Amino acid sequence: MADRTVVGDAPTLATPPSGTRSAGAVAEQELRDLWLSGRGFAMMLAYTVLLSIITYLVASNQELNFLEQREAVSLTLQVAVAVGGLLVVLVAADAVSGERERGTLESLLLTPSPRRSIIVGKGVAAVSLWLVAFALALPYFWWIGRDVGTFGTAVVGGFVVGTLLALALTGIGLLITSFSQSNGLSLALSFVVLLALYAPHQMPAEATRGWAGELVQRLDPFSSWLLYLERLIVNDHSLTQDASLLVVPALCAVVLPALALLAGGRLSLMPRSGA
Amino acid sequence: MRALARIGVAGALLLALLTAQDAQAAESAVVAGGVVVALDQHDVAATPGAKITFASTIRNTGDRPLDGYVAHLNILSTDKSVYVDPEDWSPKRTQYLDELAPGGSTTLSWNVRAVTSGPILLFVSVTSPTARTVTSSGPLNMTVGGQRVVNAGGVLPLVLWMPAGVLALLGATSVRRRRLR
Repeated sequence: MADRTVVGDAPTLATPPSGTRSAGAVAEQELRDLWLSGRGFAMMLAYTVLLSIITYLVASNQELNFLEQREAVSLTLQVAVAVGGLLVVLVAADAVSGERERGTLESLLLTPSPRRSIIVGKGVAAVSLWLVAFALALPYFWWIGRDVGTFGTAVVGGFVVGTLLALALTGIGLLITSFSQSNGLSLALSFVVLLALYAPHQMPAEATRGWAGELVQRLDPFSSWLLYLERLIVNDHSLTQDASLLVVPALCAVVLPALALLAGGRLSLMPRSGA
Repeated sequence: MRALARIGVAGALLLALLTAQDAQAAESAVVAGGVVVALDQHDVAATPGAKITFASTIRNTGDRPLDGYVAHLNILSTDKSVYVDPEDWSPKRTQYLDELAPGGSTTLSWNVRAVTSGPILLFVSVTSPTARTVTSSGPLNMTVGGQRVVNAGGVLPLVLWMPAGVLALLGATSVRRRRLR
């Protein structure tokens, strides 16, 4: 900013755009590509179909309707957040390796936009999927929890947790895609990481007891956010009562995108061996 | 004669062994009979999702120490239409007791989370690998009421219109793309 004051008010055409401006331009282009091409809406269609099936089963199926209403809200919220995160990974993992595979990364790197701005723009597009997915999930949360007064809590808790998760997963996806030669490798690695993070939550109840089990639950961002949402909705805890469970997800939401941004500065074409 | 003598000795040994086993079994039964299990509550009302904690006191009323004893929490419903999965109600339902001296007692704490509405019955049983009998406490009658399940009324418009709305948006982007070509 100080440099600009010295040079003058009107930047010349040769002046490269600032990081924020070029990131904004890349984000706008990526958002157009995602939403106006219909790719984003196709994902949202699958997302709403899934939420509709779960809501219908929760309401009408005898086995699931056996759930207490708060548990039904918790189940739907957890699925909405988890699948929203999955969609984010899908787009983030395609961000750079997809361009690389389609042969469009070279032209992108030749633009005056700093490489980190490209990463920021692509990250914004990935996170937008979560935001739209969450907005589409709101009617389901309202309908399932309408009689037990959990709508407000589910919305605030779900938004906070889901946004932290979306940022962390965007960071993971961008980090992997920046170093992947092929889209397949990037997607496969991202899903492996996603499954690895989800695995501790699937441990039997016995394994989660004791200090070691508690520690794993708190260190694993997936387990801690699932536990946070469960306590928030099912056990009627306040939003801040289990805030300590969100420490690791919040750290991941900051550190992983920051690492992706650092790695983005070294973005290269990475030609295939033998090419 | 020697062979007959050997058979006689073997028979005597066998008889002595069997007698000793019978004596041991009788002793175990006495020990098991010397255990009393009591709960600190008899009736409790709860709503689904509520957590209840109660205690059981295990007393050794016999004249021998109790070793290797295990206490287990049993959860069941007296209404056949109410399904109870004990794992959902209390993931930790087994506790291992330290050696209990004659006349001594120990208190165990149990945590239960009410899951479904209905009449629920809980009791604690105590046994050991050598006890041959199981000693149980009296029942704790838990009445869980006020369960709210999702009302299915009006679900179809929601589950059909939401994907339909997104499908319409997808169609609109497809039309736009064709126009731009």
